[in-house]
Amino acid sequence: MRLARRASQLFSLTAFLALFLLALGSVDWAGGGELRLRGGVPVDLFLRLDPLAALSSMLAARSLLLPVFLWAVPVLVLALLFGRAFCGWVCPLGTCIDACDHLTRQRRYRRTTSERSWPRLKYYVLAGVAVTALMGAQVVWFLDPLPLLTRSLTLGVFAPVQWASGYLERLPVAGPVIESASRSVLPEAQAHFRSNLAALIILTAILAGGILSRRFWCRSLCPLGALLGVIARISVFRRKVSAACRECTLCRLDCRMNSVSGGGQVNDPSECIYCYSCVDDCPRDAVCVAPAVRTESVPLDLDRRRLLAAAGLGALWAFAARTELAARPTRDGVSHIVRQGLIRPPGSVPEELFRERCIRCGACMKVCPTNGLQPALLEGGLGGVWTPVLMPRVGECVQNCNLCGEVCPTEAIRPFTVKEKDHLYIGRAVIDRSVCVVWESGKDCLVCDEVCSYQAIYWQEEGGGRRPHVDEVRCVGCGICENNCPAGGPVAAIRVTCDGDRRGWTREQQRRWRLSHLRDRESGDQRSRSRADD
Amino acid sequence: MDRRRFLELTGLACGGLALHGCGRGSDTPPGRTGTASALAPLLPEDVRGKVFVGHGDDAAACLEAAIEASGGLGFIPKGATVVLKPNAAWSRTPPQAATTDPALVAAMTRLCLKHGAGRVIVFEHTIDRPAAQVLAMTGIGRAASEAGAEVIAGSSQSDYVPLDVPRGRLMKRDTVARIVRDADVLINMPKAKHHSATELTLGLKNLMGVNWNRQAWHTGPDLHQYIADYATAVPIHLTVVDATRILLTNGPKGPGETADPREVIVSRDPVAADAYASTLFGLKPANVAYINRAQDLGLGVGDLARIEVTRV
Repeated sequence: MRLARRASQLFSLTAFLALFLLALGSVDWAGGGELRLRGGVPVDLFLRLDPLAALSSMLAARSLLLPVFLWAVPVLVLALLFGRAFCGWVCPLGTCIDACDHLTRQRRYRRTTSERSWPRLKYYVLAGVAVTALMGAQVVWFLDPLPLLTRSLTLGVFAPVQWASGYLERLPVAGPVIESASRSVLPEAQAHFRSNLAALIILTAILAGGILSRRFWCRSLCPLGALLGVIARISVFRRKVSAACRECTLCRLDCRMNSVSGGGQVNDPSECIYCYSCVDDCPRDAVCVAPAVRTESVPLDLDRRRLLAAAGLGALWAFAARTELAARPTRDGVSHIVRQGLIRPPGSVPEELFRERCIRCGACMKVCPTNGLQPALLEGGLGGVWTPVLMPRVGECVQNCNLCGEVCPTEAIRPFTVKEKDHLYIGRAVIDRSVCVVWESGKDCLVCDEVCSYQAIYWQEEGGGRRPHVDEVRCVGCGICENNCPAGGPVAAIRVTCDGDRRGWTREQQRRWRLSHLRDRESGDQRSRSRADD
Repeated sequence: MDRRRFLELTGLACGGLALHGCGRGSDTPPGRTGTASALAPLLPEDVRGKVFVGHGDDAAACLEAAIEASGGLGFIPKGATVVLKPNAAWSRTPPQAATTDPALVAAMTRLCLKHGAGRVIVFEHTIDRPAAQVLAMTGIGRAASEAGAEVIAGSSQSDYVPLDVPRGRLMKRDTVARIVRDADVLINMPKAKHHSATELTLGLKNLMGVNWNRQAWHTGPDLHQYIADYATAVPIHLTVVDATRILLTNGPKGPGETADPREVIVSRDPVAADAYASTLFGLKPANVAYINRAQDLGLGVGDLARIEVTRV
């Protein structure tokens, strides 16, 4: 069975990595040039399988996301049958941890005495994140293994690997092989991400937990493990020890989760991950896993005071995240975001809902073809850390691309079509006349007009020359102008701000608004155009 | 292998790789610095001001006829590397007329290969991204690769090398795609279309797509002079202007109004090709400042009176 488990782990990790790499826009030359996800597979499969992310997202956003949650049902059913088998057989982070634990291999006889873990801590973590979600904010993303791994790989691993492969491609023999491999799974330009080191350090720390104990993360911290552990208390299949047992305690030493106690007969169902080490290692074949009614169970034994403290911390985060000045409430019912740079990908739900739904998995940033989607630091407030923001100076939102909506597992970015993009207003460009080389020194520049995919730049005679203006009806805030603007250094003369963000409206309302304004204009009413002066 | 030895070897390997990388950043072997500009040939007297226009529905046939009339592709040495520079800057489809007709690029590729070119490379520094998508939408990626060309998009700075522009009036130094510098022959295949800054975008303007930092041209003192200056350092051996369908408004990206002159303009003289093409828009070459500037620099003939048009 151990072999079967390892095979399953390997398969699952490979699938996870494959899906991660496949989350990349590819273009079919024979087709019309549509950007599609490679292979047409659901690249967010693992994120959707995660019941904790789905539950927390739904709880925080107070909305039922059935299409998302249904994916997690099999995992919950598996937990009812086999407890935390997901952790031992499927979880890609668990597999990585197992692999790293081999590096920090500890001698068998020393294990029980030298290993340190705090199995109840994860329940406090779970309690904390549950309270936060209950109060309408999210923090589970920080520790939930599947978003965590996806995000860490995106921000911390993927770009360095791409960078390194650029060097390795120049090796004499292996170079061409590496080149052809990287061509098929890496984007055409080098990716860069903010806060990459933070993501990498967190992942490294988790993998290095093996110094303290095997599966340290899974034993002590993982909130998904805690959730499945709670369900595991009523699971059907359990570890059974027959009368042949002579209490040699070999199984206890071999248990990577430290779930076996006593002479080897007692097993904590909320810790056991069904790795089958004890079954395979028992010299007398006394151990098996079989359906069983609840026998004696190890109590969870949570400390009420600590539980309250955890809940308090969770509440504290929620208070902070919900009341921070991230959005300014106004009388029109639409919150105005305080930080102008907070530009969300097209198709995003309104800001408050967005922050509650987004599980910070980073899949959208991974898939963005221009690298323009970056993790937010504090521009969205505490509640917005590591949510995606568009940084047009890094990369624009490509007109013919809808990949972020395709990969988002919790519909914080709702799927959209390329055709809809001319009325999904995510911001609006504003010309800074003191920096623009046309306004300021009358030069022959028109890059913003030239590159604009939506023809949102128009020209008017002013002060002895043609000057560019932004048409607020046509401009959707894609940022291609800001990206290409030759003026300024890091800061362009034409900049997208979230002022034009119309996520508070439905897509239909946005479409109608655009059409009605364009129609007015055609019928000779030029007022809206002169008002569109930036 | 003990730890010390391992670290030594690793250090050596990393150092070696890093140094190797340094070399790549500014890949200018001593003898080659500025060779592109030194090679920029003065236009042979017998091709100056000679423009050949193919007219008809079949772009490929027009091209072949015009090249035939112009005296063929004798300037391509056997086994030479030929770079075709179409306009494939935008994610637009061929009917929108913002990019060069893929059929024309494919036909040119076939002609070069038939003539004995060793390699044909279609190169573009796309403005819209990702480049693969742009090449697919324009149809050029597929058409050119099916015709036997390599399609390369220069999307990263390391694809470009420094270029001296000794004969430039304003521009003294810029960059050029390594592929273009290393090529034997450059065939410029612009789309004739409206352009909001320079009035029209034609052959000389199309060369902006082989340098890395085009933004700098716009913030410079005079975009038109930059365009002309750059052409003194990057030799264009043949210009093929795609005027099968032209974009009249909202250029260069469109979509806008189009017209169908159904013409393919072929000339060894880059300035004359542009000057003739400007007439399709009801303009005079004098309306497009970079044509004048290029004529002043001796790049070719921009004066319609001195241009000899052969229609086929």
